[in-house]
Amino acid sequence: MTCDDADLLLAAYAVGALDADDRLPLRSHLVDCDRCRHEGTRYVQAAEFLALGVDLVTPPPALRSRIMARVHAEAAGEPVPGEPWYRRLWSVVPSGRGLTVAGAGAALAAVAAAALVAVLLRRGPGDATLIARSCGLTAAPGACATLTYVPDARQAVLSVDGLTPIETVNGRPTAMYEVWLIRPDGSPTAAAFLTPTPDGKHWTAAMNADVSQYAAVATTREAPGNTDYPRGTEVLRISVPTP
Amino acid sequence: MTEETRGPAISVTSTDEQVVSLLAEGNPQAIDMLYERYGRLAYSLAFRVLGDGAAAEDVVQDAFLSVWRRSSTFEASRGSLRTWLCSIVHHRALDRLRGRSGRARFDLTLDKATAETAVTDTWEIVADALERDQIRTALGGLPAEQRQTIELAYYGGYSQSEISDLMRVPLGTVKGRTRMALRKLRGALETHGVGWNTT
Repeated sequence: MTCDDADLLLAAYAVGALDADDRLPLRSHLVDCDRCRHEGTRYVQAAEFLALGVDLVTPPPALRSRIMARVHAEAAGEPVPGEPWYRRLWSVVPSGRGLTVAGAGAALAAVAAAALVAVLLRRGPGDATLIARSCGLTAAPGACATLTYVPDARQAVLSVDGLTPIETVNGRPTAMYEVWLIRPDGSPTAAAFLTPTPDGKHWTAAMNADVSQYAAVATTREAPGNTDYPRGTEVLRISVPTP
Repeated sequence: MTEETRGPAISVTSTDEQVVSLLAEGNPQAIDMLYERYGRLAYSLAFRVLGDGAAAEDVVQDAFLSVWRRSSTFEASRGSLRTWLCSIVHHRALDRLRGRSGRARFDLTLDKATAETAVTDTWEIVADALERDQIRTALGGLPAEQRQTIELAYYGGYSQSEISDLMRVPLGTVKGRTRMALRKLRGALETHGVGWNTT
């Protein structure tokens, strides 16, 4: 292969159009040809012109959150398999439903929560098709929640990190976190209570309900005892994505 | 009650140098800053190639994660972050396209020495020097057959043989058009005072 032959192929490579049959010969030529490697780089740089000429399209806000959640998880040494199921779930969140960026701690918490949900559900990845995440309402700025829904089972799991621990007096809790399903008209339905894991870091609530019929899932801090209407402070709210 | 966004504030005036510095430290904020600077461009490029928002999101996510995982291998002296990112996005978008037809991607290790001469952030300068309409003017200034050839390749993911079939011209003609188009684009950059040191 001459340098002129290689030059033609380098231009093709720069725009991603190199034919399969030309790959190895070009690679072999480049091994010993500084000039062609040099020229190839210039073609690649010129091809970037095409990238800069595209119509700008605004990506969904959730994309940034997903990327950062993964980055924070990897930075913290969380095991991140090639294609974790919760990533596929996140990908179904509609673009109009923004997931808030909550910084490193909250992102880590969300990933941990997602993993916890996976354990709780003990289901294959194809079963869960709807998930949403929310972080940092004013009343609980450190809290971050993940909602996962399994349509076939009509079961949802809310998993939360960063909630203020509930104090106990004489072994009895002084408050509780109650979960509400919020209808599209804003009216609440009592759904479950959050319960802490033994280490007190994570909270979960399982709900046998078709959450897709609701607009949101909210959590309030209530005085002890069952209550059928939220009277306490709202600490979390997750908009339910449209399937 | 509304959701709040927390975490470190991202300055829109952050520079590639800052991003590179944070990448070298393994600081996740580097990716957030990189996204702030080029996320929209990356998504737009992926969307232009794939024509599918969900697929474009996957590609952009993979590209940013790739940058994060390979951050220690990035050398600022070898070119700009944007060039690196766009290249990754483009390759992955083509992978995605070709995955549907069983085609594979091919990577070459190109010239380090040449890139080292591009000590300035070439595309940063381009962005400043050329508005988007100027970029399009430059593309539009190419002869139609050359522009179509590189657009079929770069945005359409077609190989030269496929373009030859599509345009019903000899393969050699496609190769020549591709090279000529890129050279003219390069010339357009140099016309605007942006060139590469080719020593």
